[in-house]
Amino acid sequence: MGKLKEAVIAKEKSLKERSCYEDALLFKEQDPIQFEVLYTKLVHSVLNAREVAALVSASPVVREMGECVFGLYTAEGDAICLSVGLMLHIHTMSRMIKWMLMNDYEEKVGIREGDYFFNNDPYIGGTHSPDQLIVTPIFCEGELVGWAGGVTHVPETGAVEPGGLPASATSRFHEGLILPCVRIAENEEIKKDLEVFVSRNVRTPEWWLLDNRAKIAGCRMIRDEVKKLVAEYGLDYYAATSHEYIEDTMRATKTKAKSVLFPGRYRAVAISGVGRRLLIHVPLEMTVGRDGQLSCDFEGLSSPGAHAQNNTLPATEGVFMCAAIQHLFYDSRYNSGSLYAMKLNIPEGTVCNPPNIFYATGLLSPSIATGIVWNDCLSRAYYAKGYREEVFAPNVVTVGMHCGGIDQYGRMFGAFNMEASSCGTGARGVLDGLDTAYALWNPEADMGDAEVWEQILPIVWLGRGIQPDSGGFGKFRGGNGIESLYFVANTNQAEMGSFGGRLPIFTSAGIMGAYPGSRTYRNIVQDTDLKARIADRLPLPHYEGEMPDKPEIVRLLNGKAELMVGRYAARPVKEYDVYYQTNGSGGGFGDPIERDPQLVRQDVANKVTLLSTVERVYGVALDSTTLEVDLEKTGALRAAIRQSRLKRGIPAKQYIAQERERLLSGDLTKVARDLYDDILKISPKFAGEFREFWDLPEGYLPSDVSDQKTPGGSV
Amino acid sequence: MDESATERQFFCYIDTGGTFTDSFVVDENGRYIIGKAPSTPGNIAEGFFNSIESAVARLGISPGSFLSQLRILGYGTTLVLNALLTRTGKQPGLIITRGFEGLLLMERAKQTWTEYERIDRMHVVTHRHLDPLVPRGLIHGVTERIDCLGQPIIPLYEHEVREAARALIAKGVDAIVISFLWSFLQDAHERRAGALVREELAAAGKDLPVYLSVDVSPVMRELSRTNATVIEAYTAPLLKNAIEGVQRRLGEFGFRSSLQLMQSSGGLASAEHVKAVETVQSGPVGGLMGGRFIGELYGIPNIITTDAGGTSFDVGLVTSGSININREPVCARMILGVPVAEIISIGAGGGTIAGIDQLTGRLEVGPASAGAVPGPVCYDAGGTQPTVTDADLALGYLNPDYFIGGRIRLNKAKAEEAIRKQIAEPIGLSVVEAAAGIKRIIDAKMRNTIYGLVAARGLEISDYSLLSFGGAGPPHVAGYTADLPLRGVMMFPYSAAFSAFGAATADHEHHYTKALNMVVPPFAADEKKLELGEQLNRVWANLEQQALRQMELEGFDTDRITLRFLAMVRYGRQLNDLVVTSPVRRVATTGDWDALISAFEKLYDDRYARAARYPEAGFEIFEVGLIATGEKVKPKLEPRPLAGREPRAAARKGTRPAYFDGQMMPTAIYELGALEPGNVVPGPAIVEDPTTTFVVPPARHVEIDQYFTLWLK
Repeated sequence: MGKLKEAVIAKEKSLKERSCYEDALLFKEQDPIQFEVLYTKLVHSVLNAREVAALVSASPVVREMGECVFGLYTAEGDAICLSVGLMLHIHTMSRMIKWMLMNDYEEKVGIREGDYFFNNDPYIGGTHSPDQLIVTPIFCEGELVGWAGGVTHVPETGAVEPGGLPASATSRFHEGLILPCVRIAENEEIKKDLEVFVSRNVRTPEWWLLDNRAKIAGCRMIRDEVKKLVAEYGLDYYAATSHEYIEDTMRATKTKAKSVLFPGRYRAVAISGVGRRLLIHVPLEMTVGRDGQLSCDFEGLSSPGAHAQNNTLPATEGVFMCAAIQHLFYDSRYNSGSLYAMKLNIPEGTVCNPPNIFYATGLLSPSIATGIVWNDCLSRAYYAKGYREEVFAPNVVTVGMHCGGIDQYGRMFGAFNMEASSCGTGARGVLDGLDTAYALWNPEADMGDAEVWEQILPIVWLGRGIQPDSGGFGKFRGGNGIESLYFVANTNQAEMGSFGGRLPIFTSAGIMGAYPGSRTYRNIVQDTDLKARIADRLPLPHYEGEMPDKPEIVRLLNGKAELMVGRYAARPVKEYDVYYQTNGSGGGFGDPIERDPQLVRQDVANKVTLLSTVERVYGVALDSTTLEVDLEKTGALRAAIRQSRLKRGIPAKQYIAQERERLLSGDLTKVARDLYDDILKISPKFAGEFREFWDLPEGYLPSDVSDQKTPGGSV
Repeated sequence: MDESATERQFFCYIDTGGTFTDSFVVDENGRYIIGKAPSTPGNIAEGFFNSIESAVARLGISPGSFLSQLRILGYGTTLVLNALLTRTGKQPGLIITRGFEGLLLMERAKQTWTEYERIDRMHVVTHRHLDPLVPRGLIHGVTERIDCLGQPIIPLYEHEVREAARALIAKGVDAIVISFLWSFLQDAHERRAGALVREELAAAGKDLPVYLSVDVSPVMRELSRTNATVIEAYTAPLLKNAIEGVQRRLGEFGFRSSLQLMQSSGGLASAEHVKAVETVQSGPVGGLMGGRFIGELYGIPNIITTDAGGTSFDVGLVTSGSININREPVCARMILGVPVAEIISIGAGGGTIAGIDQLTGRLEVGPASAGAVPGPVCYDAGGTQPTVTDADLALGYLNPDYFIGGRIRLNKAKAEEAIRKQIAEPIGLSVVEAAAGIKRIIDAKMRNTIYGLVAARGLEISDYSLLSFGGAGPPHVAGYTADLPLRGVMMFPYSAAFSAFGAATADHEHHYTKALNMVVPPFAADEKKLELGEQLNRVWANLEQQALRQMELEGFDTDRITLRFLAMVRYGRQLNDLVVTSPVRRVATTGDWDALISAFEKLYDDRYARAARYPEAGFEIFEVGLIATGEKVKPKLEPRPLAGREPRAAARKGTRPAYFDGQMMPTAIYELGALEPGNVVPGPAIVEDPTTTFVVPPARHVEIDQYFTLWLK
């Protein structure tokens, strides 16, 4: 057995049996200052690598959206420190390194100085196949002392659809080129034959191949810096402290949880969906111990399926930890310690930890939903302890458009316009959510400029703005998402589709009495008269407009219009076909009729709330011309809303009894029936609690009691 | 300077900061004096002249006599930046491509966290949108579209422009900004809209300025371009007003020469030809200019400048004699499409606060600062948290009776007590060990910033020398350069004046850019190269004409103008380009084309290593540029005769214990003003001056050369 494989096993044993990574922090205690000084140098090495890589990279996702991260790892593959950026890879590179060691790469493949290993198999490490990892070993005095690694998201993988995230994939074999832990360079030289292979199998090989160079440049920088530091501080010191940094983080994680979270058991559920016919259940039970021990149990997750929304264990861990860092461990060291300090249960055989590598994994909505339920639970634990300013209502799953074909320059291309950093955040406990400025997977959100995207894709924007009222209504409203409207230009050889599928249900719940964020959707109008309208100087569609049920794209254009919810596979498009897309938005916080009327007025002035919403939802009397608020009338309107609620309301016991009757009679839509059938079958724990709570007979399954003719094939 | 000053020629640079207006006067021999007066925000001219008066009073001549002899008066002002930070500019309205009215509210997402510290970038709940300079109600969309190929794919709906103009005029805006997508590539729509707006203004009997984005910031990226244009409209009238006030007063004193403004890119240009937005970051560039000047003086092409003050540590680069230009800088949390000299700033200085993190028990230093008020604990002015200055005092580096020449008496006991309670006891160290820890950590942060600026651009630190200035730099320069393989470490005496000195050395300079759309296929045929070269030549020729016209207006003869032709080149489908100084002024042959591409690939190799090359992807040139430099008289530093290596007795101030190598040891103290060129000060030593304190560790020494530069060896 390889020496490092033994080390991996030993560390796992230590974590399992003693709940610690190192028994003591000897070097920290000996000289806490030197301990810190070395760490700041290590952190800078990864930050510098990320900056260089972003400059070499060609991928618009890296340059425009900052989807790039670098890290330094111990010899056995645990993260010591990470740069900023795509933080969900804190642990995915770790998984990759450990996988190579556990699969005997030391002995059977060989690991030498100057080697660079590539991986985009999300079952090994990474989140989906466009996330491409490169790691290189760091040797000092002939000994492998660590690894430097980098990840970039490359928006084209040669999959069945362009852009790397094929919405129509039903197995991983539709998802393009997957290279599992392949040595792509040795003695610092990139293997030419492998580049030829890539260049003939993806639609935009320049991105893949230039990004490889970017990652190699970054990894090399980290490696060289670490070697200098080892020479300065000594190999023994480096080897010991690199482990102590992880143990130090484990301890800090517990201290933080203990100091800011109210102990207890918190639960939340998010529902994601696939097309119109399948719901995915993502529940979380978060426990905060009195000693600060955090446990997160995802028992009750749905089964995987023949769709693109299965997520691997590394992906789920990665996305979840990304959310954890942003909202709890932001002031800690960014390394494996936080993960090891938490007890995380992501049951095997579920949509977030499939039983084998068959399942397609492109779309990350289930794993993003783990972050969403985490926010829900965490916000309440913060709130209970008095940290209201840390509350962050559930946020959103992101969506995007992908297209490929021949671009406006006559070149082959495949790419996506992700704009995915332009979701609205959940509301904060003391103020509104951010409009169009967030994505869970990268806290440094950047949607890029339209001019840059138009240079890459054969599209012309007609409108790119804040979708009014898409954030959940509340005392503090959720952030609104983006709405984008564009048409195809300068090519008739292209196909266009959408990834990021959800049912017309809400994933980003509101909290403390607020509304959820809006669902996402797209409209497409093909064979339009747009060109003629332009020639006649007629009004054109730019937004959804004041009447969301009759959007401008439908009112102002003639053509074949289609409203789509959820994902859809790429279809041929031609010039002047028009596409409208919304992105996710956040849940609200608190009762909307407690919202400061001046905030409502400001939103109307900014055109992010429709006039028709003001009275109906917020109970605010606003003059539509002067935008003056009438406080007296507002008071009366709000009193009337309260009265109306009291009339509609029923006691909780009565409500539960009614719902129980529905369960017993099988009065559920088919998708809800399928959802509960599935999780009651695969999770005995969930099934037990479910049946106990609703007082259902042993072995209860909705489909057993349903009249299979119950209408509602979709929600 | 002596009484015979009346017959000499002077150069003067004035810097109006938020608190003080500094003036720097240098004679043709390079000797200089400094003036200082409080800034007068209500009437800038007043502080300006008070500052000049305070300087020339020391020359024994009247301001009038002095000003009539001035060849060039350079002026740096933070007026534009202050107006942005305090939101006190004019109120423009904005006409934008319809569908993009939300641009300033959306902020490309990035502006919600840009300029945040790393922890807050992670901590999403802290992210905030800015209040836009143009409220949504003053933004009107008009239908039009240019596509990425420069084609007018949707014509300008002229009636909408007129409606928008009328609406904005009715709302009482102070100016109208027009910003359309891709206008930098094809400006027809913007220019036509500008003409229509002017017609409507004339019809309404209004005389308001109209700003086109293509005129202010002709570069790609709609947010950066629109931000820059809006800032121009927001601040240009303020700057114009201030400059006119100054010029009136100058005229009264007989000043007949050119008043030149410092631009953020590091060049001076005649005040009437400078855009307000191009001065927004001009404050810190003086030091960088000074670094370049010192580099030229010593024949050192690559210099890192470090400027440490009370709250921030600024690092800049001079590479091959040129300063790095950031073409997409962030200022006041807005991304701007104007060239700015690249300077990285972190929260690290004398006032930086140290404390123990409650979660990890680790010692953290910065980025928060105690500022000037209440300042460090040792100022005894209400500060309670220990700072870097407190640590420096506890370590014996600072003289409690000679801080800022004795103007602030430092309370050492109080500083030590704060360190003991808040740092030393919680982590089990002695006071001196804790103070040394603060110093090590702040030194490491400074070191990492320097290293990062160089390494993250793919450059080699061993190719650079470092120049330290700013009051809080010299106590730490030995620490933050200790493990950097620099070619040399210089400390400039009279640090406080260095920025003003540097500004006086700046060139008269203008930057021009023009977008184009050039996709170069891999391994292009000769005909293709010549065709593309011709396209390039046309754009360069236009820029050249534009530059020569402007420089001529500013009084420069053609033979006093240097032109540098630039092409922003990248590999096919990359999004970052490199600014390549073309080896040829025109592409006449395929050899010329190849020379341009080779220059790009060489630069690329230097930055990212040869292995990162990818010519198989072809090349792209989406922007070209031109830098026009006018020859200008600069101050000179004259060498002084060298005295012996041994400092004279008058320079010695005795000894005091200071902390080195883990212990307090007797350390020789010197007075900088009494040292002479040629002297060598062996470590451990401390060299004191009213403006700063140089710390020389054991086994190192300082050599003072003929220009009175201190070399840390």
